[in-house]
Amino acid sequence: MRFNLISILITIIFALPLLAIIFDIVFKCCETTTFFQYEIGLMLVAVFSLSLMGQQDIQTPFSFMQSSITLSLANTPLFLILVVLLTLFIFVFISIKHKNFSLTRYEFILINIALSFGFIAFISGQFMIRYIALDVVGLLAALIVLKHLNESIQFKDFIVIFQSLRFGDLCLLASILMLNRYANTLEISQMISSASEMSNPGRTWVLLGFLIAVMIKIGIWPFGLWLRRARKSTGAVSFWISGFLMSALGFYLLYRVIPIINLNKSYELLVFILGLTTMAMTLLFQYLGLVKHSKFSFLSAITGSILLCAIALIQSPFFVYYLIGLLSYRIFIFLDEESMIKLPKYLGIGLPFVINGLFIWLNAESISILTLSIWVFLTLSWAFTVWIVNRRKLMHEGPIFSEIKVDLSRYGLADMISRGALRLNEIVERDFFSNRLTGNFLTKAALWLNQTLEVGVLSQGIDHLGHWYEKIANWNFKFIEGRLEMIWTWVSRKLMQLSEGTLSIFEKDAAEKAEGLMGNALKTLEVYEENVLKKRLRWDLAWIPLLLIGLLIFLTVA
Amino acid sequence: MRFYEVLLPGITVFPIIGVVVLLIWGKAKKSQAAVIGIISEGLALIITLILLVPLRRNGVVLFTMPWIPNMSISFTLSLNWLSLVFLLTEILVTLTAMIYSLGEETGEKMSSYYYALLLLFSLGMSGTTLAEDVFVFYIFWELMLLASVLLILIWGHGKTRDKVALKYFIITHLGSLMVLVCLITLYVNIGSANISVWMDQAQALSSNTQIFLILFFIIGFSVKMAIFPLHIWLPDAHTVAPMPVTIILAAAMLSMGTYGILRFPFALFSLENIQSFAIWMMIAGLLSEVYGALMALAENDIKRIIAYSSVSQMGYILFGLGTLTSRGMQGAIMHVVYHAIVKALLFMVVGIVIDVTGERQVQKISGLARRYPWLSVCAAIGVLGISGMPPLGIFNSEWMIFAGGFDSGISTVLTVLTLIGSLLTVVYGLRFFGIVFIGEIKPKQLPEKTPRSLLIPTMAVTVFLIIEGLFPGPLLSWAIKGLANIFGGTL
Repeated sequence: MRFNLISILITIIFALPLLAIIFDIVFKCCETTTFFQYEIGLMLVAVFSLSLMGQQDIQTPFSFMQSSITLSLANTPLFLILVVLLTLFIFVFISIKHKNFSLTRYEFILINIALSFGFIAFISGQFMIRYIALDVVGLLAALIVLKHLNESIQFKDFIVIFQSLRFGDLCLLASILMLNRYANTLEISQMISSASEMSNPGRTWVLLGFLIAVMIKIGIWPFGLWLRRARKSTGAVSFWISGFLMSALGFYLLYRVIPIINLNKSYELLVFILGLTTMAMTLLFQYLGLVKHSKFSFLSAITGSILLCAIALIQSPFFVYYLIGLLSYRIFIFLDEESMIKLPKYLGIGLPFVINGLFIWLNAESISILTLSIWVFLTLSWAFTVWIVNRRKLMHEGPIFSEIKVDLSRYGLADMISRGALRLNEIVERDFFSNRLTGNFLTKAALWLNQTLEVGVLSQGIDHLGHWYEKIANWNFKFIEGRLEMIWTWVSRKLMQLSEGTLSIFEKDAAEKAEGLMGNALKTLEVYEENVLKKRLRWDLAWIPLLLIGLLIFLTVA
Repeated sequence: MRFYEVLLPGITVFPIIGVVVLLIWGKAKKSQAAVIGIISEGLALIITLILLVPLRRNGVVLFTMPWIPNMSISFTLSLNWLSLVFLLTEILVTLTAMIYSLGEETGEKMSSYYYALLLLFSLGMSGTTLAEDVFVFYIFWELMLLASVLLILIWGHGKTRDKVALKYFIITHLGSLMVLVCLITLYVNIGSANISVWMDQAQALSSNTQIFLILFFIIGFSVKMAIFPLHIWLPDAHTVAPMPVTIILAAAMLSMGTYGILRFPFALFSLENIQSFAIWMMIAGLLSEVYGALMALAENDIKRIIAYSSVSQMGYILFGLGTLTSRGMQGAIMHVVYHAIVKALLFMVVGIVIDVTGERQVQKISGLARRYPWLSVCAAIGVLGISGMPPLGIFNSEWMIFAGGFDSGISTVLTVLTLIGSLLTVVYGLRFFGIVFIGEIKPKQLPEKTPRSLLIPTMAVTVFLIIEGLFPGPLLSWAIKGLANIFGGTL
């Protein structure tokens, strides 16, 4: 009975969005956004009910590529789905109030498909199905920026988003397949645990593949380009796929690979360094005004980096709450940026302390002093970043720190935190970045990195890559294909010449010669015959044969 | 002889009857000739489907008739799971091309001969997949080439068609001659022309002979597969050939090379000897994949873009075969089928684009999505399909091929490169779609609608592509059984 109820709930959650699309297209009877709100409300209830049923694995009667499809119901994915759905509910609710955020039918359809496949991506117990669902959500995240078919710029955004996410998915696929070789199953839990049986280099490749996939999905430096493009090109509600569903899927993927990271201390160190580096780079590029972040994409990248650090530092059974905290934080930032709701001024700065504080409190018993110190540092860095960002009206107007000076003097901040931060900023500015040598070095290093990696490879990377592809392709076309063509032309010409020559020598010439010889022979014969015929018959010589015949008869008889 | 055994030669006999009728009725109109062609090919399809029942029961359907007893040559046909995959693909592609022909100009003149040659082309491929006797195999193999050359020569586009036909003939024939050398060597050494006998005795040949034969077989069949750098016949032949012939060339004929590799070197010789070629096949596959994709990116002629993508896709297949693992080879067999469907779809789309715009250069075409939404949906699904986007079919086969790459343990780096290289397919696919279908409408003067006779088969293939991707079970099980036909339980 219980299983049946679970099946019904799962079917409702998966099928409801798809049915809603059909209903909306066929009947067109009610206002899309309102209808959508009821639908999400119903889904929320269904997911909530499902989360009350406890953790369990479900074997479905379906199979794909001869591998049975299983679902894995656990608290972490269900809680994440709840948060993500709630976010969408809030967005839609606000969009009804403000006409600015209204939803088109095209967006309605894409978001609904994303809801179905996103749900499957969360609860699938089999990696192949999860991968398919992730890939589909990636495609939808890219498709949603395509609003008008005559806008080539939108198509460029589509290409950047689609290719970036696809690259992430391919890295994920590589890791899955490498693991699959050892696990001999596509069951996610068994595959993850089989990582312990792998050799160290193999496992490192697997982990790298997973990490790149996660970093792309969350939008961590240097893979944040697609998220920035999506942010720029989509409306508030339609950004939900890229900004929240995709991020939540990235968070969950990272959550699932924690056992691999914990297999080896050096992996934890690697992930921690990765987190710190990506955070530093995001800040540095923002400082130099090299990357045009929105507030949301900037802070998303920062929180992503902090999550990497957290996973490397703390082994905790409460990670799900931390993920929910980070996801909620993103929601607040987004709502604030879109001016959908008015948040208290210092909530953005306060939340890092609350989220990180609660998490460390939950894990207080297992935390060392060193970890705690690092954690405090990370929390302060995060809050400081938010504080800086809050000072700016537009994120892409220039370097942060120099702008703060102006902003601070204008607003005349009085609170202690701000003064302290200002002092810190001045120290940093004067003692560190004003120093020509250091400043130049850092700037140059950052510029170099920016030009080579962010601009050269990633920012304009897809375009550049396209140009490179084209250059290589053209080169190949000119030299290899062209040469092959030349060789072929040469060979075929030679063949033709050879065959023509052969034809000429052995066929035509020979035929002509034979014909000539034959003609000559016939002519000679004719002449000879003519000559012979001209001669008069000499009867006087007839006695010779007669004599011979007589001689023959004589000899025979004798 | 049982009833179904007598039915088997019907797959080759009905097209022959169709050819004879068409040749006798030389002045038939195009629609009349098409009906005869489609009925003949349709009957071949029906027989194939009927034979599924005994095939499921017995695992093989065999027909044999003495031909040249003194030389141990007989007219023997055999339908097994491996040949079934290739046979069905080929017949379905030919049928699609014949139906598509109705909507376009090709074959308006000399229609009877056009459809007769299409039937002969298909007959060549059917015979190749069914032949159990190498003599019969080679006759059908060459018939396939001759028919296609004549189709290009007579109905091809442009003034260069005679040169292109000659180039196509010579290069593919060189490959065929390499295969012939191997066939004669084996025939002389074993003393029989029956492939089943070869399967039992070929492994007794000396290791050096086996290696020589494997090398020649692989190169010979790779020419047919259009693997880089043996592909140089393909872009021109695909471009010059009339669209229905291009569809058959790309979607069906290329796969005959794959069938040849599976049927001869893989089935005949010991795995130890084949293994020495595994990494080279994988490298050649990777090179072909990347090179074909780069060429597709550099091209501006829409027909050539899709033509070069065949070089790239054949690379995946060779890579899958080179892994020598069950998953890799199953993936390669599945890829043949999925590639056939996607390639047929993309060429049909390109055919419609050329038909409505009268242009072939991408710079002269854009924004068609606004005017022809259904066509653009088909194109988008085709592009996503070839990019390996789930749940469209190629995703399934690529998954298997890559899994096979990792399973083989030959080179993880090669597999990762092949996997990441597949991103290039997305790049050229999206470039093609973006330029042709997005943006301002160009050229300005366009017909209001696409011809229904072209669009309907295109949409049918699109639906088929989606269904095939969603339900890969039967195809996978055929591929598994097909490999069992070759390797037994040794893989």
